[in-house]
Amino acid sequence: MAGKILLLLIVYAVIGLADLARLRKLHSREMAVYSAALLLTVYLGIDFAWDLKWPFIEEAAFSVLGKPAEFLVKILTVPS
Amino acid sequence: MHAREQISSGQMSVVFFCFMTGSSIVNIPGPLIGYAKMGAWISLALALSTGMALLACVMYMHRRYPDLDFIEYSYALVGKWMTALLAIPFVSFLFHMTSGIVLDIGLFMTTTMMRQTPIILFLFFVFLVVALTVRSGIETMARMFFIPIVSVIGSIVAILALSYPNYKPEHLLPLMPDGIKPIALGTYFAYGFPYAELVLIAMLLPYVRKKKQGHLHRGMYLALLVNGLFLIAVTLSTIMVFGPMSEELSYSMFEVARTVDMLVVLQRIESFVGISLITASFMKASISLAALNLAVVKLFNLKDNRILVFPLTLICFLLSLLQIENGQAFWSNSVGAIHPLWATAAFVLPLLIVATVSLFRRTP
Repeated sequence: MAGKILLLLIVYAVIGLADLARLRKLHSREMAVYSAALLLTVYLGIDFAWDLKWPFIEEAAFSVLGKPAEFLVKILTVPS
Repeated sequence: MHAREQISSGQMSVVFFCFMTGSSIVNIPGPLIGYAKMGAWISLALALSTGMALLACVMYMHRRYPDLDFIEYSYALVGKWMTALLAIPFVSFLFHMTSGIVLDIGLFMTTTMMRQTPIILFLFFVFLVVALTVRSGIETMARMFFIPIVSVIGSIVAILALSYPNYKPEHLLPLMPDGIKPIALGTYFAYGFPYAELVLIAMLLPYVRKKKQGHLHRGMYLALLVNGLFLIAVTLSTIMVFGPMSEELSYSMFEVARTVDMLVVLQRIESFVGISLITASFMKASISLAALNLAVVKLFNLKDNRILVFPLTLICFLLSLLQIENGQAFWSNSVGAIHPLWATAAFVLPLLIVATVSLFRRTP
């Protein structure tokens, strides 16, 4: 877990350094979208570091499309 | 990518070919043969025809709105809120695609060549290079992709030719021992990966220089046809070499390359397949991330179209790690069963909705 957190902190530091010059020139809308994207990375980062299995797009896709996909595959599969 | 960046129609065709061929040339044949058995090449041909129809739709919209990408002409045709609604599955699927392409590289390397290496290392460095590539812009990407894709195709053609002594045409029969259902299942899989994904190219078409539009349509259809022919050739090669065992293989081209043993000197050339997969998948991931970045930028109408590249890449990196923590069976099910339906809901349906509205509008 410590290794994962350290990796994430290094990545955030590198992104901050790389984007610093651009961040200073951002308008409020761009700053808001950038912050939202970073918040999303924090959510995923916490999930990754602590292995919490929080839901995201894969789980959403499974919940919506899982059963229809399973049904489609079942009717097209020939029993062996 | 600045608004003034422009590429020629030939470069766009190459980018499209890189995207379609990408990881599919190594990843598709094995699972497809598992679904469709010896009729896998028929499934590919049927899926290719659906791809042609989708490409026709994309090119029709580009002809009507040459300066606008998918998000922009959605805004113009169906309004802000409907576009936002259509963009939710669109953007979510782009996240899934980008993370999945790079995850496939990691899985390939940890399954075949470098089994002791933690997958996170492959994911990290590939995403780093992909992010830097996308930050450099579409012009740089279009210029740099030509030589790698030529080397990928050259490697594949060489392996197909060198495997000739191992081909057993009798393995191609029986063609449909279980009827039409396995072919239909294979078509469903091949339609989802890679043909339904081609709708993404609608985000990049406005970058084609107006003066050089003349050959664009021909180039795009040719790229798709050549991609289809390569996939069919690779699938047929796998079946002829391994026969009924083909369906057990995950990375069939890698296994075909391992069987090459000519004149004592030409052996152990499977590393060329490894290089080809990584190169081709890197190009596909770059194009996918570029489209994702553009989609988010256009959705929120941002002025700086490169500021989000690193945060979006980090999201995709974390998504890759989280997907594989669910286990490889979960990931295989996600790609095999859900991916085609997800692509339909995220790419195909929004395109069809917007194209239908466009049909009823007289002037663009």
